Amino acid sequence: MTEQQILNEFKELEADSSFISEKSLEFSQKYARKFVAIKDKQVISVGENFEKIIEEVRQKGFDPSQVLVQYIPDKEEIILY
Amino acid sequence: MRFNLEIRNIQNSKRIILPLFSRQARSFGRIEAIIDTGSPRTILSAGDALRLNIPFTNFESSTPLAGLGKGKTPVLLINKKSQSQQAVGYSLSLQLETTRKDHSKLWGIKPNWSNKFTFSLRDSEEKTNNFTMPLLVADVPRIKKEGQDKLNNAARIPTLIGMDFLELNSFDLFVSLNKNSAYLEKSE
Repeated sequence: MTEQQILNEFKELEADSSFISEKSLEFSQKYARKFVAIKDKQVISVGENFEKIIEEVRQKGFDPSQVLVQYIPDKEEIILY
Repeated sequence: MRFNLEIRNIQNSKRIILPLFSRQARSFGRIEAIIDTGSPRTILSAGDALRLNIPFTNFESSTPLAGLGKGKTPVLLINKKSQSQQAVGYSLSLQLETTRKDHSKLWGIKPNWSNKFTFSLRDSEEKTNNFTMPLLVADVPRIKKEGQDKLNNAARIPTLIGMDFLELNSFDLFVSLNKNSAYLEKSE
């Protein structure tokens, strides 16, 4: 992979990550307690089973390594690591 | 050399994010990691490990970690074996269905901290920089044996950048939530 391709990966990740943050309120209402897969600022899969999400991402022709998958808590849920 | 971090609202909380790119052989891909100074170790999450198709059978078990979600989370040590060891491992897996623990016994392998995970970071001048370090990864096959719910719970937790990341790579961490600014600076 060239440096430019990796820089593009960073840019796309940043864009998708910002997208989820901006939509956090909307997503917590629509997709609470589910995983959401995002690619190019589009929701491409939603569900409660992580492995099924990855499977669906592949079936839709995307490479999971280029997709951002995040758990969406409900509005009052806070996750401590 | 400076690496900008992002302060962003993730999962209803403000988090400090480090975007990175895995250059691990056959597991290239994007990772959105969270800076967690409360964690002594850097841990590649179950979700990211599945997304990146990490070859779990290549790694050996390490001490399960307490505090990641409910109960203890089994983890593997990213530990590059020689080609011949990998070939033997796959062969044994197929023929004898031995476990990773058995492989470890057969080979007498102990955690080797000189073998490392390779990744890229983007610096403030828009250049990529490569790093290597030992890394723990959630042991997805073992988590799965405890049930799908356990795996889904583990997948909620993102990849965590622990104190070892800062120490081993000589990074200083600067954070100002008031100015919405955070970055890593590489000590020369």
